[in-house]
Amino acid sequence: MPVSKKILLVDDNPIVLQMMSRALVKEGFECMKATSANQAIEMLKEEMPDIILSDYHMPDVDGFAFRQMLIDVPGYKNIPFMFLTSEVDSDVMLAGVNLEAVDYILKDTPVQVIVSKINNFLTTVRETHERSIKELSVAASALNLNSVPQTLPAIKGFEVDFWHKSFQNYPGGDFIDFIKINARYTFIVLGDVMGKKWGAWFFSFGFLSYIRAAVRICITEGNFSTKNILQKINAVVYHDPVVSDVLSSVSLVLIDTEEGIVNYSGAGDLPVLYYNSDAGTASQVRSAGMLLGLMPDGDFDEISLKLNTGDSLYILTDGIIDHEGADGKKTDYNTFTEAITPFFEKPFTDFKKGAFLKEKAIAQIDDCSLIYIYKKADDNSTN
Amino acid sequence: MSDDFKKEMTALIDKGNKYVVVDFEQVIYVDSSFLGALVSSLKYAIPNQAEIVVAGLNKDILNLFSLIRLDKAFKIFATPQDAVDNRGK
Repeated sequence: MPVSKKILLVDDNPIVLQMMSRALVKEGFECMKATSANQAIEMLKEEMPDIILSDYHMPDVDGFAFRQMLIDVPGYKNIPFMFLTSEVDSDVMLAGVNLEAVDYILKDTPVQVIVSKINNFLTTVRETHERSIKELSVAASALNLNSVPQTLPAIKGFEVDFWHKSFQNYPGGDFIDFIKINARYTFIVLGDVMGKKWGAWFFSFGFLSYIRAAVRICITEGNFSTKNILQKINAVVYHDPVVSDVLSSVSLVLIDTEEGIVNYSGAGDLPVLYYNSDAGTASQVRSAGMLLGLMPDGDFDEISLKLNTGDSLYILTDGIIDHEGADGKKTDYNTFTEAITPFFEKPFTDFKKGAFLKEKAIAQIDDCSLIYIYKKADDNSTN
Repeated sequence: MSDDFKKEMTALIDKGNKYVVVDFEQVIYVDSSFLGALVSSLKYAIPNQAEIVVAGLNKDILNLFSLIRLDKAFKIFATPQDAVDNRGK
């Protein structure tokens, strides 16, 4: 069954409205009630139902005119629509079908039958939607468009891992990239294109390409400064009219295995969490840079951290710090810090399997990404 | 929703408004779509010599603005009235 079953009932007769609503609520539906088409339109501005059930015979604006009003508004056109009426005239029924109404139910139909019709219909809508997502995902994977890497990089003296969950399983606006230059240097990129679902998903590939290109160009020029790389990307994005309307946060990290140093620059990203194993303390490392493309000069800086054995870094996007409590949705970095603290000295896989990320996967407030960088004991292996 | 917000902001700026206060007093949570719309409205405002400021942010949203440096892009006021009183200061 669909998770949400919200119905907008429209009928000028308050008694019919009340009876129908009571019967549907009993069957697990949530009902919005309007006594006229105009009132229904007002309600739609505030709240979107999964389906609309409307009477045909209404004063002022009748059911057909109401349907026409909805068809004329792109945001309302695709809300499934059913006529509920005592009308038996076949011409009227035909006109209803021509107005892309999903179905035509007579008022004396037993409530159980109405409910099962609605349920069947909502299930069909959901299945069609899921099929579309699946087909697009297949197309994306055929085009080799992945916003997260398929494999983890092998970096001498470091362990790198990540956890990623897209918003309601849409390929999301978060992207992750690992670019291993040579045995010494590896870049790690975490970006979050603002927005959800398909728009962000398509743009995330555009941004990923920008960043990959900028990183590679800088490297060819012998420039391994994360700050400089973000400045270049920012300049490209800021002046490009095609993407000037899209904004993205980026965390860019360069691991230098020879020095055991991690260099970090950020663009409008969340602070990185740094765990110092010797001291047993965790702290937020904040970069100064602003969102990519926001200002001509993004005010970027570069922070260098010397990691010792047992130290770890966590790079995250905002989905990780969003949570839904009894009092609604909230954004709070401390919830993440509190959740990760007991796992600092444990393998990252334990945290990946833990309750916090499981909850994130279920809650699905936004795309969620978390990258883990851990400094292992120095070894002489050549990976 | 964020698209509507962006349209509304663009329309306000197109009408020649030079100082737009976004009132957050009734807002308990913002997602990245909304922040994207707010920031892209700012990008639209700047070349039109218009200013967008925010007011009445709750503690969580204020923290978020500071965490991702949006406090460098927007002037933040305690209340919409403060924003109006301090225009241009």
